[in-house]
Amino acid sequence: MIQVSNLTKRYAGFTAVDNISFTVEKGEIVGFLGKNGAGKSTTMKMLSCFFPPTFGSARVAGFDCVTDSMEVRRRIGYMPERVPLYEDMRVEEYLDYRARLRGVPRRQRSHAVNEVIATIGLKEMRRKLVGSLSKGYRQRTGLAEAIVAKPELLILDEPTAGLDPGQIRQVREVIKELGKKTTLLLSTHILSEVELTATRILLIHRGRIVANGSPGSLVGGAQGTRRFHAEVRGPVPMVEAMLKGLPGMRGMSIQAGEEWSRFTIDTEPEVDLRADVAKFVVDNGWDLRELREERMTLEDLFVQITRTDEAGAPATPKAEA
Amino acid sequence: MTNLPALTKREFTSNFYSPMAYVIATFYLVFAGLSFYILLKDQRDANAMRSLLTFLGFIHTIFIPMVTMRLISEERKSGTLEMLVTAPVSDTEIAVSKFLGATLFTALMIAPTVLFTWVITKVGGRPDYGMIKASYLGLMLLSMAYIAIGLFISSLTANQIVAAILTFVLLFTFYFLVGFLTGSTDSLPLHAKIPWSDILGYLHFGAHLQSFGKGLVDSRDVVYFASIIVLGLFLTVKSLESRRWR
Ligand SMILES: Nc1ncnc2c1ncn2[C@@H]1O[C@H](COP(=O)(O)OP(=O)(O)OP(=O)(O)O)[C@@H](O)[C@H]1O
Ligand SMILES: [Mg+2]
Repeated sequence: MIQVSNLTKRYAGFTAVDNISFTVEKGEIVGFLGKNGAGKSTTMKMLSCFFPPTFGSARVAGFDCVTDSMEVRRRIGYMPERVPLYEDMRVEEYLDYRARLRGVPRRQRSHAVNEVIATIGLKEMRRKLVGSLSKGYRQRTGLAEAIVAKPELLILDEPTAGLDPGQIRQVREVIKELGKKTTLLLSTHILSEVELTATRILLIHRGRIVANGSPGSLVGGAQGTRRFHAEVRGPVPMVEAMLKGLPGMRGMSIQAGEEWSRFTIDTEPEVDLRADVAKFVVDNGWDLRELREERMTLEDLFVQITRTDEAGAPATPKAEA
Repeated sequence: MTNLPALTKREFTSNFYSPMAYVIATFYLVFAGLSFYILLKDQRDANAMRSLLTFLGFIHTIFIPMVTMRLISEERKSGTLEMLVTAPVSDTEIAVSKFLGATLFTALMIAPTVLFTWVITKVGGRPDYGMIKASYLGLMLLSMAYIAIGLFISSLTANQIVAAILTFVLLFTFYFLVGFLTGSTDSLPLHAKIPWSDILGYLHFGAHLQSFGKGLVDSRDVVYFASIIVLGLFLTVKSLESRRWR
């Protein structure tokens, strides 16, 4: 659905997007992540044909965004970061107007508008002036506009920015539902959002793609070691000796207490020794109060990859399917 | 061009949502009314109408920039231009619809002055309808040329005030200054011949308005205004397209 190759955008000497390449298949929901100023919006603006790349190419559904921009524009729904809307129109009037520009035939238009108003939850607002809407409802109107013509590809730049938690959940449901029929590329700063909806993550840092893969594989792959926490009541030296004897052990730290002691165990990534630990403790007649794995979150990964010493380069790039 | 009706309707109606449009239209009417009153007292007949329309042609160098300044500048500033140009709409459709929207609004702004003709009959004058019709045609063509120029200027900046001032300076130059330099302004019979005065004279707006005022529709004048309109629209399309250049 999207083929991007060597895409580069320079603003007056400053390279905002630096030679990136990636593809998005039909039906994927791709979360586009990166710090402020990483180049997400710039990339999305090139894909939506707002401006051309300085170098390289972007294709949507096989059409080039520069030379076949009209064909591309017919196929996408785009919601820019600022959600620009005509303030002086009423919500339904605006949606009808945009549906018309996006080529929804006259007979289907009022149906399409009603449908999208119901889906996005804009019913009470339909007669209101866009200029009088709250931030959340503006955002929803922008989202409604993007999907009113049932595009093949949806490009949403921070669709949940500024929404309240309830609205975020609703929009997430809408996005999941849309993802069944449409290809989606959405940028966001809410990582839990992406973990729940995206089938793939593109992480961009300083204009370059530094990670590309499913949320699970990225987090798993970035984790060099696995860490477990166990809280045990028993003689510390014996417990320690038992744990050291387990296969795949890399290291351990102990916080001995009066009664209960905490053991933090690092192992090889492919090892899961929770079952073994539980068995040993019980077999020896000790007690076990806690046994859990410390999982790296997408947030940890995000921070790890995008952490840069001010002068230096980003941490090791990771790319996989 | 399938989107032209929808776009034009939006452009035209958007005028009525801003208080600015009402202010401009009201000022215009008061201004035209006063001018007519003064001219009528002075001339007492159908000539008042011709003088008025010629005078309005000059006054439009101030009013048209106020109508055209927002056309593209406003959308650039508010960001809605991003929505407009990423929709499957051609740059030509955008330019032409904005031009037509402003033209319709201007026609509406001028429309009440038609009543002045009726006033002339009331004070015993005998209006020359042929001449008045031709004068209106001339005024409309002139205004459309102004609009095309204002539209282009509006595409260059996100600042409406800058757009208005630049447009005014440009229109004023071509209406007044060029006329002054080439001596083709009726009111200022200063025949200071300067080099290229023939070319400059051809470019002078006012010169092309004169025969309309005599009730004559000269195809050369129509072609002149049409060329300016086409040029203005062409430059606007190029300016919108320049965004798509690498
Ligand atoms: N019109 C512009 N002129 C010059 N530089 C620009 C322009 N637009 C963006 N930039 C720069 O390009 C870089 C990338 O900006 P971009 O808006 O793509 O970031 P982003 O990833 O969307 O960030 P955010 O999360 O804050 O939205 C930034 O450093 C920004 O300052
Ligand atoms: Mg952004």
